[in-house]
Amino acid sequence: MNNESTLKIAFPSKGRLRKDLEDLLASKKINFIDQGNDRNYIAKLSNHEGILIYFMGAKEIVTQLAEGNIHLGVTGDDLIQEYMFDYETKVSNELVLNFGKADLVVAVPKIWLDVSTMADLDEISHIKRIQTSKRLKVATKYTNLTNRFFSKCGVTDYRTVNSSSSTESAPFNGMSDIIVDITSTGETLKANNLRILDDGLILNSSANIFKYQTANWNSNLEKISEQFLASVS
Amino acid sequence: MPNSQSIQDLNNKFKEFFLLEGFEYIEPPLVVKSDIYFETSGEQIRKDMFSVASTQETEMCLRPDLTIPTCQTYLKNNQKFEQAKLCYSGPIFRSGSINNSIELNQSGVEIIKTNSTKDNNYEEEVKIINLAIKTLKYVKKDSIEINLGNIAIFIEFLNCLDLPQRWKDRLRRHFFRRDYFESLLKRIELGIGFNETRKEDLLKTHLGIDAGTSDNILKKYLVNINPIEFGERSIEDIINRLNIKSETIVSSENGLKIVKIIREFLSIDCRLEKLPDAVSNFTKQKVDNSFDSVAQMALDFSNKIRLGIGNQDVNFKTDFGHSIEYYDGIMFEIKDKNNMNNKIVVGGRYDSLLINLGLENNASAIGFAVNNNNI
Repeated sequence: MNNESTLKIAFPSKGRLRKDLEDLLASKKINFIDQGNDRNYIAKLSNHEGILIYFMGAKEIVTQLAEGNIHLGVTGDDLIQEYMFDYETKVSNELVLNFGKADLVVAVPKIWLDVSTMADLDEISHIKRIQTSKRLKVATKYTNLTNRFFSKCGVTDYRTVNSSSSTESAPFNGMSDIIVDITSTGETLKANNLRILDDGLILNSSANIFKYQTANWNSNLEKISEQFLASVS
Repeated sequence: MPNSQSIQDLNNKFKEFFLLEGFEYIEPPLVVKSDIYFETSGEQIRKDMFSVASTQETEMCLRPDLTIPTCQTYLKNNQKFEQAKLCYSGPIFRSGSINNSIELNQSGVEIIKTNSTKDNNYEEEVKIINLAIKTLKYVKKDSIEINLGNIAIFIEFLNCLDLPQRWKDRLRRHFFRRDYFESLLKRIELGIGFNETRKEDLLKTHLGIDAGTSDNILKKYLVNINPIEFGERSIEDIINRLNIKSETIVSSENGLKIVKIIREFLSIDCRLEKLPDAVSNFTKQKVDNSFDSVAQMALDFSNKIRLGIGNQDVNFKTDFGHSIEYYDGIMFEIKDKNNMNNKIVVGGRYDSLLINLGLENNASAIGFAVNNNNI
């Protein structure tokens, strides 16, 4: 990071996260300035000298944090834990924001009455493999988080199937047996005849402000960062 | 830590030794399919492996062991045989290994049979342990200690417990995953299964129906549901398993007693010659001779192994297990008495792995590997 007098912060460029973040800033009487127009991807903040805001996709923020190209980034726990290798050593969670809340959960077809827990899943997946030589298919876009959680729960007879959209329909179109997906209220899962397992919560996710720990921080940048975090908390 | 030249020399030296002992040398590929490792050890082995997705959407890895690739290579070219004596020598790759080296070197042997008659003479076990001892003598490693385990004894012990079969299977299946095994014990302590009231509640909550405990009412309801909603499972599967769950109940009180017995059994740690006494003491404290078959098995095992391998220092642990979990009988490790942190040999029986690799049900396999980096 070359420019040592400017704190670089990445904000989500679109969607619900951006809207919620703008509402938060507005409530703290912080505005974007020098942005040009809404489609411009760089801005400054009113009353905050030495800060440059970059607008980018939530997943891109994870990449830029991992690369050390930005000092702070607003993104979800789920994306950090899924896409950043060794995230505990690279970033710290500086501030939990009160929006972007969602749970990453394991859901099975509602009609599987005998399956309530991960232990049930372990058993039926093992039976399936013994009887058919096939493994339980899990549709998800969160393969790393899924693998870690299933491994912790002793479920091994499964394979993940990458699902980039409409994951909730995967069990009913033959793509998978069950799913791992993000849900805010659980209503979409219910509407699709899916049920969350009793112990199937993988992660309580929310939007957070993450700090790249090993960036070339100096006392000036630390001070600017502390002032910014204090103003939005 | 030996340098690369001495490791290479050691690899060659063991290879020559095994050839002289009548083994066929196999040179398996360095890069192999990851699936078999995930199938046998679960996703937890992923952190120890170098595995990447290939363009054909299959995952490939640098081989984390040599037993599986050696057997796979041999089976690929030899569909019909009665017995094969295979050996290998070369690098394996694991992350976070000794001195953070990703490359370790192993030399070992595998004896596989396609038409094995299962007897309990432990003749093959004795042969393989003796060969491991002889192999170490060949490189002047005489001061050794052998640690032994036998999952067959644990399975016999499980069979004697008053637990639902599906829980016995579960404990057996996860014996090697120690953290999860421990969490299973904790769940048994809380009580397992659910009663008929719980089953009725379940049907009301999830389906909104009042089916009581009648399978017929439930079945009539389920057949009217679009089959697509069942995924690949059948109505019968679901009802049967629901019944099994509700019929096999263990109260928390009994769960605590059972787990106490399991922990007690898994704490047996003694010299091999003391094993019959240790198991006998354990069984004497239990009512109605329920574990007599375990005591008999332990006595038989101890006598035959000791008779076969002579005056060696051998310890036996009921909870002994390796991290790569395809073993399904005897398991052993040999340590250098001059450096007890060094495991210089690991080995055991792995019949079911061969079945996973495509052989018939009566296949048998046993082998060991020398950790050359520790020599």
